[in-house]
Amino acid sequence: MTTAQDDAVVCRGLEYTFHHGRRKAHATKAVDGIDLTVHTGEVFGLLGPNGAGKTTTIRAITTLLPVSSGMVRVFGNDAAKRRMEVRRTLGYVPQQLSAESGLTGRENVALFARVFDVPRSERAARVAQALAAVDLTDAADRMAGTYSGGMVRRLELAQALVSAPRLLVLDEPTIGLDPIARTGVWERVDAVRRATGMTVLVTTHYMDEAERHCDRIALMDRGRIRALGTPEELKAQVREQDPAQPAPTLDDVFRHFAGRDLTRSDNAEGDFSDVRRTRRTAGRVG
Amino acid sequence: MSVVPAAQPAASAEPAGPAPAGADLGLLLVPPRARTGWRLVPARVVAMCTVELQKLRHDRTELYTRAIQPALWLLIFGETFTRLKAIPTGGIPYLDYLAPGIIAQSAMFIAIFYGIMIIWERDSGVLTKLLVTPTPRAALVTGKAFAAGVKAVLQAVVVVLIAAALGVAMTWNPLRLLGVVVAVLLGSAFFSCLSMAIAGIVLTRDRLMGIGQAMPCP
Repeated sequence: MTTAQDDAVVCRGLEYTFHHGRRKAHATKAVDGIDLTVHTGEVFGLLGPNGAGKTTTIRAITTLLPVSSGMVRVFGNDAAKRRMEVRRTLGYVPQQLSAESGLTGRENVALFARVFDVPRSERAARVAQALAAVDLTDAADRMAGTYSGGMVRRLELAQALVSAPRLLVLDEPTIGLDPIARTGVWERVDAVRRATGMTVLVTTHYMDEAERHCDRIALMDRGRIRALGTPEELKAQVREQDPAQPAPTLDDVFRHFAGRDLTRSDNAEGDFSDVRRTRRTAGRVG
Repeated sequence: MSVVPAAQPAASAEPAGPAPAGADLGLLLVPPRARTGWRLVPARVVAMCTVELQKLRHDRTELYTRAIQPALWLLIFGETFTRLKAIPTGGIPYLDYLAPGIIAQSAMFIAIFYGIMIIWERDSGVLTKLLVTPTPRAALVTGKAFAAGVKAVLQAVVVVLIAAALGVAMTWNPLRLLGVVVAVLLGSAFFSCLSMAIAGIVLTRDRLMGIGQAMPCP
């Protein structure tokens, strides 16, 4: 049995509200009291429609947002009080393509080696290993601006891996990539995870990826976790609750727990900045 | 259910084949030892400045294009007003009077528009990723401020060279030139901090561009 100390991430009663003005009516509760545990060494998928609160949850876990209500612990460190300790355990790949196009792949990774205090004596070797782990050795000295979308994603993975993180957080890592590039990214994540035993927390809209790569999945909708379990457990739940679906897929599970009438979903979920960020990323990936 | 196809379509720019097997990941298993105390901020400043220098090494266009404005000031306004003698400068040639101001103006322009770069980095995810590293916010701002200073110093070197070519009387005392470097570095760091603080309030590039345009006017 694992204890809270052994778990990679523990969230209890996590809430987050965005305020758009002084009035209470101008507030959006993005995360509404979620309880979540990510076990050490597993690949945990956070799924849900746009505006479900996935990215806000990730941002609270990665210390990008203050934890004002509830509790978040990463490997036993309180994300509200011990931010630096939490950050030292993290490797983070944001939704946007965030590599510096004006630097080479090697320089991009070296920057993160520097900010994670990798000593000069082992910096070059560590950077080379991180690039090798994502199969970018040959392209290491090319400008990142010349990389394809999949290569940029793998470069970001190398940036995250160079500090030997215990928890790798991937926010929609394959958004906008073609199927081969998506497979390429996941192959590298799986290979590195097998070699290092690190924990992976991932958000994605691709159900096939979640089914294939995640040990457990949490389905979020309107700031709450609606279902939690292995892909098979979730499908079994849908089978029990909806006899009309004898062999549900994870897409069906998604629709079952997060589905609602199309008009509301289309009109109310995911704000302008969500859509702009997603489109910008997809556009840059090309 | 959608399934990732096994065959590679011609449109993919990705290399075929699985991840490299047996790659040596030895160093990636051990986290680096954390730097603590007073050494943290200087280390981050060095990291940020290194990035700026690396970017400039790869693409010097910015250096050249930013040299156009001070060159025009010195060549056109400087030369014209020197000959007109319309502005009393107390016996000093107008060009000599103008050159230090142009250095200050160039440094200020670089620093003021650093806030726009921060907004771009925030939108593109670069800043977000840096914020998840063990870098205190203050160290990040200081690092960015001195990175702006490095750019401004390079700009100042260009202006000094143009001024020297135009015959501006200058001292070549290394201590005094070092003083210029320090003044430009600190001045740029101050104004870039101001610009980043404003960027944190206005949050969009459009708004900051208007403010940035107005600030160096006087």
